[in-house]
Order: sequence, then C-alpha cells, then structure tokens
Amino acid sequence: MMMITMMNSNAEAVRIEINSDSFDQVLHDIRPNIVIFDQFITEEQVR
Amino acid sequence: MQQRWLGISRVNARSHFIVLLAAHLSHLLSFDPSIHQSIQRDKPVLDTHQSLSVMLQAARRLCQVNRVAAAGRRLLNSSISTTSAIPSNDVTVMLITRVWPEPSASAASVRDYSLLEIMSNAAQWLHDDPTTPSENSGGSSTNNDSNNSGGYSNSSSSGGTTRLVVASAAKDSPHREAISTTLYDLDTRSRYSNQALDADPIPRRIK
Repeated sequence: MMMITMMNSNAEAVRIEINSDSFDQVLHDIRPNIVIFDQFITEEQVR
Repeated sequence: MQQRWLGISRVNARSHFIVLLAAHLSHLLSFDPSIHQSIQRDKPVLDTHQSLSVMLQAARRLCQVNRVAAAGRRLLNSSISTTSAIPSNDVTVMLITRVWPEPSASAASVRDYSLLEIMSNAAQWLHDDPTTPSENSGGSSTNNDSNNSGGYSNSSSSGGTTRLVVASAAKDSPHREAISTTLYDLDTRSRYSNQALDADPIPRRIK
C-alpha cells in the first residue's frame, strides 16, 4: 500500500465549521482557484 | 500542444474559479481496475494529469459533475467573486473533505495520497492553462514557502507557486458529518438555479 507522511505532503490542513458564516471568511482568506469535493453527492443521499 | 479532456466548465478565466467534483475514491477505484492494480504494485497511483482525467471520467459516468459543479461555483462566486482577481501565476487548490489525517499523523492512506495527487495535478493543469495570466504581479499570494519540506512541489515551470489546502472538520467536531449535509444542500439548491450554468457542456477539450 502506498504510504506517504502527511508532514511531507506540503498540504495545509484547515479546520472548518459547516453551516457557519466563518466558512465564508475561510474562502476569502484562502482564495482558492480550484475547489475539489471528495464526496459523491448521490452517495450521500442514499447512505 | 498537449490536449487534455477535462470534464469541467470554465467559470471565469479572469477569476480562475473552477469547481470540480472528485468522485468518491472508492467509486473511482472500482471504475478503473488499472488504478487499483497500480496501487497494488506499490507504484505511483497515476501519471501527471491522468488522475484528474480519470476522476472526471468517473464523475461523468455518475452523471453528477455538471450539476454539482454549478452548485459549487455559486457557493464560491457568492463569497468571493465580488473581489477583483489578482493576476498571478500562483495557484491555490482547496479540498473539502470530511476526513483528513491530523498533521501529526505518521502516514496517509491510499485515499489521502490519491486526493493529494488529484490536487497537485489540478494545480499543474491550471499552471499549464494557456488562459492563465502570464504576468506574475506578486499580488497578495499567501503561499507559505517555509512549509516546503518536500513531497509535493509548490513551484511550477510557469514560475508560480502551488498551495494545497485541505479543509475538514476537526476529528471530534459535530460538523464532520454536517459536511455531507452541506454538500447535499448545494446539490438540492442547484436544481432551482441558473439553467445556463447547469447547461454548460462537458467534457470540453482544452488546448
């Protein structure tokens, strides 16, 4: 199994709150060019 | 010039807001046996750009990417598009996920590795995008070079920097499961929204 250390990934981890205005501020601060969701929506509906 | 199939719609070349739906990795792996075999052989999961392409192919099969992309665009545009875009080669890729290892975690799973790969490839795609402004104005990049400890490059041949940000709820947070609810809300809202956005054709060949 492919394993990498998270500390070497260069990815910043940001903790967010959902359904909160604070998330808007997170977006303003990060200013992403691309946003990726890792979940398939329909799967969430039927889970 | 290299050509790639991208199952996404450009929103605004100036603001560079592009929203992707990454199909759930378990779906992705099940759709393409070669990826699974590659993982089993302990080889790199995917070549450059390949994971992004395969991911979107999987999403297209699930017939959801366009609708969700439109919903995500509205979320971002409502929050950010009022601010002027700063011409820059710097690229920031954000992943919204329910589960992500704590920074102190010693190792990542195949899923985590694959998501990082997708993020990195998406950033590289944007760096390579001919519509990306060529001038680097310096602007207000918030990239933190001091965190460059190896693993994924945060620079590109175009001279810009790459920033990968993973947004998730804290491990013990009640918001963790709520992320799914939010994504569901976005999906539901999109059904009553701008039909023109939803009607964007996919995939689109971009040179």
